[in-house]
Amino acid sequence: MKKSELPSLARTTLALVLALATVGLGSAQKYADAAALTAAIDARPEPATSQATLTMTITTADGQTLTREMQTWSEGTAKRIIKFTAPADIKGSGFLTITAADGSEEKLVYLPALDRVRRIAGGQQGDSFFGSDFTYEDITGLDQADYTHELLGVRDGPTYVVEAVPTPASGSSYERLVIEVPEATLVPQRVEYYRAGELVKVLTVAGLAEVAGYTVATERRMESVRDGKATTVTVITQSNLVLDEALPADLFTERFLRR
Amino acid sequence: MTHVARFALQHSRVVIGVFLAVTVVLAISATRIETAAATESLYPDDSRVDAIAEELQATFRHHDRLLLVTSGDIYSGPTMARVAALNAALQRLAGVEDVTSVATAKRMVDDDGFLIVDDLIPRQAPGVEPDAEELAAARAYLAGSPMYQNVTLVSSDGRHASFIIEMADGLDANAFAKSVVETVRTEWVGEYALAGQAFTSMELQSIIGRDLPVLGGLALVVIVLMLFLNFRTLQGTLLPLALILLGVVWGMGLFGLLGGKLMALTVIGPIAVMAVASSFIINMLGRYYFELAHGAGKRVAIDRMLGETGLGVIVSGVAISAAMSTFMLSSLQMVRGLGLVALLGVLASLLASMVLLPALLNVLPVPKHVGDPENPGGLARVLASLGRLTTRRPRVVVLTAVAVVLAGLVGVPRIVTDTSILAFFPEGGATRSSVATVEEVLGGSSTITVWLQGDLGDPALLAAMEAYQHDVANLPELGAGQSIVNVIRALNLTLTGEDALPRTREAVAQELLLYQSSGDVSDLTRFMTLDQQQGVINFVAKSMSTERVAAVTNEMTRLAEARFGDLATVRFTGNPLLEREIEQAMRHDFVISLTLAIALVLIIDSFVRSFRAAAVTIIVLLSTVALQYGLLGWLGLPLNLATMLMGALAIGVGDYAIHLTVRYMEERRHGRDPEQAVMHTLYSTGRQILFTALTLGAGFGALAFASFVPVATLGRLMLLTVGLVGVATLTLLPAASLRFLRDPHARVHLSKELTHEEV
Repeated sequence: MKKSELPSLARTTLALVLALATVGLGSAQKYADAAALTAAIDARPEPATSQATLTMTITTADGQTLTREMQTWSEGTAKRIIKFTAPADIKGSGFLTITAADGSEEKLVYLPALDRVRRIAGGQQGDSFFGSDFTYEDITGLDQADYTHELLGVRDGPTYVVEAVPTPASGSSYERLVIEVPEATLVPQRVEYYRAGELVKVLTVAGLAEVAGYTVATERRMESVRDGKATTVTVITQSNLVLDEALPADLFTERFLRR
Repeated sequence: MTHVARFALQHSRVVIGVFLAVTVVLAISATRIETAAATESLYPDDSRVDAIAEELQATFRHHDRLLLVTSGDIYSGPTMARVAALNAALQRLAGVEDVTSVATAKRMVDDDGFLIVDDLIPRQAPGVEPDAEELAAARAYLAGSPMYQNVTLVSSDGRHASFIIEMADGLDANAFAKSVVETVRTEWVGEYALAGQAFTSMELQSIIGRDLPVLGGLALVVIVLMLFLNFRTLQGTLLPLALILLGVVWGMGLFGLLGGKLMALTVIGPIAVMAVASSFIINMLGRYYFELAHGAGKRVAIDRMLGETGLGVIVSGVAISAAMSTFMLSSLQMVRGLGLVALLGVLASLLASMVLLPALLNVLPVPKHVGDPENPGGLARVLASLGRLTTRRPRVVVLTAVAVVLAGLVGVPRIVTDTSILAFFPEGGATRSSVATVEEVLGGSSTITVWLQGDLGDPALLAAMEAYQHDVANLPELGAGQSIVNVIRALNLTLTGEDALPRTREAVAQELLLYQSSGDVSDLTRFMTLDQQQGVINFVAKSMSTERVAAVTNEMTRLAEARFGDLATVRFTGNPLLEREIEQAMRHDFVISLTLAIALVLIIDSFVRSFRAAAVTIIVLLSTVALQYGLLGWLGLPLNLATMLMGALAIGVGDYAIHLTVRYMEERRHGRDPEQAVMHTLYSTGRQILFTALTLGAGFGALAFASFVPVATLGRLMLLTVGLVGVATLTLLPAASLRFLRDPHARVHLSKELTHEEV
């Protein structure tokens, strides 16, 4: 089974997070420690490119909803472009992220109504991703070196429970993450995010599917939590997934962003 | 009555023991009554405005606000560092949802193609102060950005900084405000002022805690003094004192057992009970001493006290209870609480007068020197003059009274209603000064929110909202509005350099999309729902009378119709509108309680005595009430939560006037002609009526010293009312009896052996 290539917190973060896990595991599980688990995840091949249609629905506690549709293309983890297709008043707006070899990141936004490409200031990992419960950090993930880890335990399944603590230098907006990974899929099914000792968000990954030999999460649900209660929820579903297909050379450019 | 009396006399010590035990239990209950200081306790049960506010709170995550203004040289490094420290300390307080101040303000900057939404005052490391350049930039941004055009985070002279503290739902507002005060005292060196619902709740609780013991004690002292002047014996002073205290303790204790909570108006209840209980006892004990003074033995005196005066006191007690119970029909929680305390206390006093008093008199020795309470003493000449006046010129007396009442009634249309919560506090007091300071800096201390439903992505609606904000800001009591329009205008200025709203729907949507990718989404959702179908405009409002609130909301509605047309529907909410609802509930209660009090007292009195006697008496009382409200208009005093109660209170406590009517009827039955009957009635009952009026006046007069302004006004007016009832009872009532009650027929005849004549 191959690993899926998704612009998701779930897969990207998990792969990084688990790398440093060191706690020994019980005899029933396949991976003796977190390092072994991470190595197994890292060993899985990734698609070189991906294309998908995303539907992002934000729902507030009192039931208001906002749905946005977008088309995404990505090449590895370094390049990603998003073009909004609905609702009509934001159709054509686009978002381009390019990570250079030195790790620096450029984010560009195109707004057709203003006919201008604008940069978004970097270094604000905790900012909301277009008004959703996902942040840029959730979407892009951090490097594995940005975390220290501890394996908290193994549940029936088996499912590995890992705590990931971002290093001070990471710039993460979180204090720690608690991630659950089923051994069978090696795709995280649940992530809890903590700030100042409080649970602030919960990510649930559902609807795993097989696409071109990769295991793909077709639905990710992020709940913001306050005082133990969900406030807003963002559900991102992806469809029309095409993996490992060659993408046009000028796709990740300002010119395509404007198109 | 005979059975009760017999039981009380046969088992006096048992009766005393039972009363004592119950009193101890109820005293414990009374000490455990909690205070409900939250201003929400003032709002009507079925408040439509409050329902909208709760819906709004759920939709936009709006919270109750506490407003804080601190003074100092704000744009200096050390002071701004203290602002940031205070902001952080407030944010850490339990129950704080959010704090908005210059320390949390954001700026939008187009920096070489980057849209930056960043802290207005850059966050500093501990111990580091912002430099002069940063402060100057912040000052310039606050002065120029449409985002902060209508919000005063720092006053234009740089002398005051404001903090808008949003509270979590369901907090104890009083405790919360206290924790804020403690934090400010710790973190801020310099002056500060507070305003907002939590602040007024804290101040209200402080008043309630102060008023009840102080006013209760004062009323008690003055009543005891009146009792001593009346009876001039230790027994005649201490016995009533014990019974008065019992009435208060039982009333409050039972109120506590029934789950009642102390509120600002509750203080009226115990004082009304004191006054009423003392009037019961003046009549009962007066009769007892009268019998003793005329040679009766103790047992006979007690029998006659119960048999003759007891009946009158019971009828009065039931009538007063009925009048008090009308307050329990109110939709205002604090008026119901007052009604319940008064009702329970009056009934307890009545029970004590009928059962405990005879038992106590039975076990206590007869005083060595007993004066005749019906001997007018030094008042003889005055009462005789009154008798001559009313018997020789009854028509003149009645016509004079009618003229006075009519003159008073002319003042009724001049009555101004005012239920604004700030008017509850004394002018020039600390509470009003604090709110005035906040209003001076922020332009107001409360918020009127306009809730729109429409397509907020439509530039036409946004333009209408902006125009509406300008329109409403021209009303003197309202400040500028704040809405999504301010954010969009600031965003458009930053992105395009054009100080205007975007012209197309797409531009609006895409600029907001960009903001969502750079700024805090809650900056938008506090003003507009995600689907852009609902939005709010918040207008800061100064304190104003409820009449002015009505005018302002009417004007806001008219302007909304003109500006929005079919673009949006609007609803209004906010504390000033809640105060107006209180006024509407109050007017309703006023009519209901006064009408019912009149009807019930009339029915109860006429059932036991005669309809004509009851009607003549109550017409006299009504004249007093009319004059009372007329004076309210003439003196420019507002009709408020407390003064609206005084009509029904006057009808209730003024029912002692019926004692004069009863005595007059008794005199007529014993063959005296009307004029002789009036002369004799005035001579024999005048002193008691005068002392009853003085005692009632002493009780209610104590309320004049209340810190809660409506109660203080009520106290002054009740003092006047009780005086008017006393004067009317001794002048108008005899004259009216001569005109309309020359040949009375009592429904219940007093038993022959208990009549005054035979004694």
